[in-house]
Amino acid sequence: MDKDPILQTIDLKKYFPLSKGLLLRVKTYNRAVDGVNLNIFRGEIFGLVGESGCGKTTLGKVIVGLEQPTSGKVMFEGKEISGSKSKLDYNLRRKIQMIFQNPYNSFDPRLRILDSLAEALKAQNVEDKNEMLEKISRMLENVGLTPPEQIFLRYPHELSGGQLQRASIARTLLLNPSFIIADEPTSMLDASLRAGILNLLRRLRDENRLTIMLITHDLSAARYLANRIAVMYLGKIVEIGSAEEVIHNPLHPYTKALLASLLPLDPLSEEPEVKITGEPRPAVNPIGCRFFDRCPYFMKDKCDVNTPELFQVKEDHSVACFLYK
Amino acid sequence: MVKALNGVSLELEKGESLGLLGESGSGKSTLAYAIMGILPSNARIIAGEILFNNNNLLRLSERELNTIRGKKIALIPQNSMSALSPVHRIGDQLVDILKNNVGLSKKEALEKIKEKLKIARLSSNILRMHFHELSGGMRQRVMIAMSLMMDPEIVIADEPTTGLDVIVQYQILRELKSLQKNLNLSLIVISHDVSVIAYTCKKVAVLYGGSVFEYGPSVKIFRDSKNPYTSLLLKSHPDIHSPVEKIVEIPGSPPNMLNPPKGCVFHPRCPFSKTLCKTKQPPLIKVGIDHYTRCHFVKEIFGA
Repeated sequence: MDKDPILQTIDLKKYFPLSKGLLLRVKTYNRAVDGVNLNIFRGEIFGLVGESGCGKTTLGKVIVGLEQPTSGKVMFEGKEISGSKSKLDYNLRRKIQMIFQNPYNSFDPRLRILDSLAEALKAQNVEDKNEMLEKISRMLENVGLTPPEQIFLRYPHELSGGQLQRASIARTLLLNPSFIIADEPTSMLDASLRAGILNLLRRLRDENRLTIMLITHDLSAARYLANRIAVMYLGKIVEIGSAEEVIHNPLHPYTKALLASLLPLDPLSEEPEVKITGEPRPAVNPIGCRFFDRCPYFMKDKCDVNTPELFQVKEDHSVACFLYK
Repeated sequence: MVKALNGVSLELEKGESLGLLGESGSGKSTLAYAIMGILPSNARIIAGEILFNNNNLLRLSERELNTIRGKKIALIPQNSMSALSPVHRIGDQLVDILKNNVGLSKKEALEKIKEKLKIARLSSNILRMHFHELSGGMRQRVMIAMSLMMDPEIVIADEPTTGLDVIVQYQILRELKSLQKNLNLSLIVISHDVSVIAYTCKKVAVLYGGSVFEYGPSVKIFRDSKNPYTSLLLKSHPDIHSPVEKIVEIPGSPPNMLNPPKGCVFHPRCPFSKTLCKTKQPPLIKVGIDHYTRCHFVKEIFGA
């Protein structure tokens, strides 16, 4: 991994209007993504961790172009890819692809696997049947679906979740991306199949030099795969750093709580100590730290008045919290 | 015909917590539904008995069963979103349940409901709310309160935290664990998540393809498993508390129960499988105090 950013977001925002009253006037906004600045380096797995509703999927969708940002920019290979459609460079944007959470929803149930995968090649104007078949077989083998002949003619419902998720990764790879967003790629899978998908993503980084943004709520999966981890809470990145730093030396009270809540695998280990209570409320209030109402270190007239920005504590570790300033 | 469960014998003592650990299709929910007597109408229990305080539940009439189901044995269902109607207030629904099923007056019912909400750490303000207005964690607390309504002896929690965030999951499980202790409940937790079972249960049954593969005290199972499936499953789980090692993949997929493999159901995925495994189903054998495993080659693989 080198420090050459392949993708950057610059003060990226995505607000969803919440309308109220008889005339459905827009009074407030749900600030799903609220000023996110990220640099993702070529060849790394970047883990974006957060709980449901923190905006991690919305951020992924804005980057891939499924949602238009409210403001801010997404830069890919140094060029802006967000913005009005007429200016878009589709060849560049095609380099960014997404793997979805539920493979049963991302495949057409009426198409055989071969036909679904062929769509990806047709989109690149590959017409020759033999070439298609060869490329698809090679790709299926690459993602561990062997022998490919046994997979070709099946329908999505005839495959297990793990097999279908592998097929969906194969379909994504056929588009020849250089940047992949994997949104909770293992959360629908059985425990015994999860490890296979995690190891596959790891291999794609190490052997194919792919850059992967892993969106997950699972800190242990993020730590297993990611070079760097960013923790998101209600639209903001609250902590970012190398995976080992964030996991072993967490600074933000929210990151600490997340880590403490992870249940140990050993029945004899001590009861975890989790200091925070409650559940996150949608990010409507623009003032103050997003976490102050749940924070055990809440400082009055500071955290509820000013919004902490990310600042660097160490090389490779930044946090948005007044405790460290 | 799908053989969802195959010769399962388990024991739950008073005040004990038992975890049923298994992937989808392992039969863990079927087992719970069988105990509750709420199997789908096309399901047949071909053999065996379910003894509750030495009474065989399978011999009881529907009317007799209704004095036990939901009262002595309560279920916390998996999908709490569909457990209550979204268009009626929570309070009205809970009162109706108690009025119709137990014959309490509205006042008595409300009193009981408030008492149980308090145990589940919910404010009685939620009675005026609608179910969808609650967060996932609060919905699960309502489910816990409902399961405790008739002071049951056994509570079955079916995937009690699936879909909840980590912090909320921890809060709910801690609650469940302390209730089990304080009320001396017998608790059955069904989960696919190794850590959920390790945290909440003192005894574990690992199910795979409709059979118990390993059964024993959780300390034994999680620290010193004697079964290839269990030990691989534990190694396939990235553990945040220990250094990063490459996690182990279990090849293949869980069995299709319409056409399960012959012999040991795990043999097509087992790295240790030999000819015997393909033809003969291994029996459940004793490997320690209260510790049982289903594997032909337990001595060869795990030592004596």
